Amino acid sequence: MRLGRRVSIAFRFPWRSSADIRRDIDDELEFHLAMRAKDLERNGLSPRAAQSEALKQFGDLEQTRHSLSAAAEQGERARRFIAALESIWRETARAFRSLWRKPGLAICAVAVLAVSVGATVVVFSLIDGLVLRELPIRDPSRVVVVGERPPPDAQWTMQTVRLAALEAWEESATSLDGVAGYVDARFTWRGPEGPEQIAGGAVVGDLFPLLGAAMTVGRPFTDADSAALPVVLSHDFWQQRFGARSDVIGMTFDLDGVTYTVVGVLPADTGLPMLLANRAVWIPLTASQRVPEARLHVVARLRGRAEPAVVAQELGRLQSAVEDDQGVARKAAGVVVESMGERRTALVGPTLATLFGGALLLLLIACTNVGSLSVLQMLERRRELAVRASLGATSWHLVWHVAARQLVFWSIGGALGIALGALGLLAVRAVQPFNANEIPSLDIVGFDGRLVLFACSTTLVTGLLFGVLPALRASKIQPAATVREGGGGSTSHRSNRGRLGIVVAQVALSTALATTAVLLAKSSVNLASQQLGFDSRDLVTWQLQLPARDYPSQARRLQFQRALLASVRALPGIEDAATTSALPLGTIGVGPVPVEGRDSSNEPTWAGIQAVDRAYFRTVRSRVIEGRAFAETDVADGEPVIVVNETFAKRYLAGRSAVGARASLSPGAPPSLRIVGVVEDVKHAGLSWDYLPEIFVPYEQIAEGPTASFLGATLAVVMRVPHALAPTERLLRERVAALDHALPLIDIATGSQLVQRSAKGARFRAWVIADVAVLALVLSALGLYGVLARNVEQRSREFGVRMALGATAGTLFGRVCGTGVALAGVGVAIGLAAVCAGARSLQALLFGVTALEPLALGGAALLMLVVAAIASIGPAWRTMRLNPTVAIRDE
Amino acid sequence: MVVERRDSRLIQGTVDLLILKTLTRGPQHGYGVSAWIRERTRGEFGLDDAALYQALHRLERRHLIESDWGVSENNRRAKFYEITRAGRRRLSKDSSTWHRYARAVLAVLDMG
Repeated sequence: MRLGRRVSIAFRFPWRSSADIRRDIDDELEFHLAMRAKDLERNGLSPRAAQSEALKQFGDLEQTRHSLSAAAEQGERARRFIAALESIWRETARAFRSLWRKPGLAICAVAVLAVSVGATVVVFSLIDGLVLRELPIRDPSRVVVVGERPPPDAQWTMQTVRLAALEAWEESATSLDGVAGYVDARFTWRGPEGPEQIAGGAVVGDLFPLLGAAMTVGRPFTDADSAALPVVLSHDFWQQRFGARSDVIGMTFDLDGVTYTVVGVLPADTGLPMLLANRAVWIPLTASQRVPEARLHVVARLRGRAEPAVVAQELGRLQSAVEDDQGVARKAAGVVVESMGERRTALVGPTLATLFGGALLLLLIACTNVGSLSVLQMLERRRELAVRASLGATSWHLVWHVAARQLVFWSIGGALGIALGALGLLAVRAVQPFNANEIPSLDIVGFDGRLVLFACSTTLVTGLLFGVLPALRASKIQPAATVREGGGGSTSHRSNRGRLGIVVAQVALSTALATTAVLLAKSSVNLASQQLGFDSRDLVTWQLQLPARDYPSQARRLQFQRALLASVRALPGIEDAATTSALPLGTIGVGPVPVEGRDSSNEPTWAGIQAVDRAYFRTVRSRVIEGRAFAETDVADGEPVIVVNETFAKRYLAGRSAVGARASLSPGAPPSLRIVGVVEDVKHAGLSWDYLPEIFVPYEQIAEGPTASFLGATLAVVMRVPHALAPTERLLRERVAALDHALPLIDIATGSQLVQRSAKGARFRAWVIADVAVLALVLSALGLYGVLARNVEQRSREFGVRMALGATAGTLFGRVCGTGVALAGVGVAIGLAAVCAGARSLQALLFGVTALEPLALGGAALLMLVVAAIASIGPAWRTMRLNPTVAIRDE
Repeated sequence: MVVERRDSRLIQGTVDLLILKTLTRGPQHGYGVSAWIRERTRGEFGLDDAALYQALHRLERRHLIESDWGVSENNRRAKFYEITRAGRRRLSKDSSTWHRYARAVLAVLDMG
């Protein structure tokens, strides 16, 4: 009696169930008892007596059986566990090895997965950081942004609020727990490295305590300590310029010649309304700036469960009351209250939506592609699996075998995807696709554990849905049947149709993406190439801010402006130079402007107001449409004149000649300024904004008064430099320093840079979708190719017969190509239908293009069909080279 | 003398030793092991059956012996045990320990 092969215990298959174990033990013990009984019989006992004696001699039979079974079962469980671990290891190693042996296809598939997972990670990170993240202030759901309701035809949703209204709210609003305001400010800071311009803010009310963001160092200032001239630094400023020193409290700061004392440093992430976070220093609003007319951004905290709409009404009433009291001529149209969350979403919405849509579609296409690949692999290996099953592998074992392969695949893809995602985030930060006004900085978008978790779960879920499940379904077969038939031959009808369906879906998605890409690209081009109203070539711009302390009067400012222009015009290479208070495509102040002959009580007349040098229109090459531009005759003590733009003329002076009509710059004053000309519209605020009605005032003629500081203190210089002999920055700074050594110049940009900055968002969106569309196209082409190749393989017998019966190779070629194009055709139709269905939401992202433009749709469709035809060439070619006899015989 | 189950580990080790030694003669089923030991010790030593099977299963779990089902001399299905290489190594080690122990005890007992 020899034991047979040496079976390693851990690999024993099949597993023994408890019943098996108990049976074995019973058999063994019964054998023992039987042998003992036999011996006893030999010694003379009767069979029955022998049996009971044997039982007695054994001892406690029950107990033994019990303890042996228990021990054996435990051993069995341990074995199974080890075997499971070992099997996991084995399958994983095997999966790796097979990938290693045939890397080509695997690399493609893993790359595709990695790219799509990476893209999803980037998008999720952006959405999380910019929209979903909880604002780091106390009870953020109760904090709102308050503004004046803008004129009904304006494109923006809220305007700044008058200080008088803010004070009224502070005093009497019952639905608010606190309200504060801030205004942007630029300061000349006499720092350790000399004077420089820094951006900051001035605050009215207890802004920082209201928000409840915890200070990094020190404390916030309240209204109570404004007399002591406190200043609060932003976190970035403190880190970059002061190396995050903790002894910064108590330091003195010279801003515009006034000495402030640092009392605190803001936290790194204040979560304040997006416009806020680029400011380096914060001071209380100076006494000289606290005029009722001053305009501020307002933030408030709602009391209890107050609803924004109700609060808006109360605030509107209080505002009206104050305006009545003060005899303000033009009343605000009402109050708008928006939650911070809404504001946040509105600002970054379109770009994020695009990114999200693109990433999702890419992921879908990638997953379906890799998924069909997995299914194909499984189908090839059905025979092997069937053999395993008949050798006794339990279904769990097979399932694990199939799943392990897929999961290895997807895990590699997912891990690479995470790495790519991190790189992608770095790239997005470098590109800065959002306008500086929309978000503080992309630093708040970080790469952290949650992101990794998200990526892992995405990979796992998609891996299971698209990799494991289909592979399992593909591998469910009857062992005997499959072993009998040859190789990985025919596939069932249903799975075939499934794969066709997937390919059609991929083509549809690609078509939709391609169409969107074309539309977005057209939008982007339209945006950048529209009539800007000025000639952006050969234009150089830069800005100066004249501080109130050094330039207390308009006369003083005018003196500077004249000297500056004289100096700049004398520079070599300058054809023309002028100043304005608002650069093209930049921000512009908007205010109510009474127009002669118009009753503005129901429909307020408003316009953007700009103070420009007399040479301005000539320098930027804005066409004069009617009348004239400013001339040398428009001097300070001459007749006060103004120029308006086309939109103003059309909107407020329709039906009569604009030239000669009168308007005024402030709501209280009667229209006394004579319009002498109408100029071409120039875009302000952004390329996608409509033209605003605008009024131009000659800089020479700005009268002293409140509007003077508003219009006269910002000097943006535009220079026409035709021969690329632009003066260097150093030269410009020297010229400015010669006039005022404490005045830094900021933001030198060429005309084309101004245009590009404005188009950044749209261009980024177009670029992203175009990339995704290209990838999707490639993937669908691959998918189509795969399906057709399989199709040809399956029908090789049929084709062989046809050829034998006289069909030419050409006919068969055409047939296969035809199939390919037909499949693609169905997909294209579905894709176009999807675009039509989503046209309305798509429209929001487009400029100057309708979503249903036939050229774009047609172009995309044609592209897809051409790609499909190309993809069909390969398989079709193979049909042509079929040897009919081989094909028929081969099974 | 019947070896009681509640005796010490020493006894348990002894049973293991005896079983291992028995199996060096060739594969055998549980009853055969018990019979041979009884015969060899001239009836002095009768292994408690329960203890025997506990020991056999324990030794198998430790891979000192291995088992397989076979057919006995009278054509019945029986579980046969065979000693493994590890089992032989353990046997030789424990056996020499036991000899040393026995000599030491005898040395004391034989004094005077």
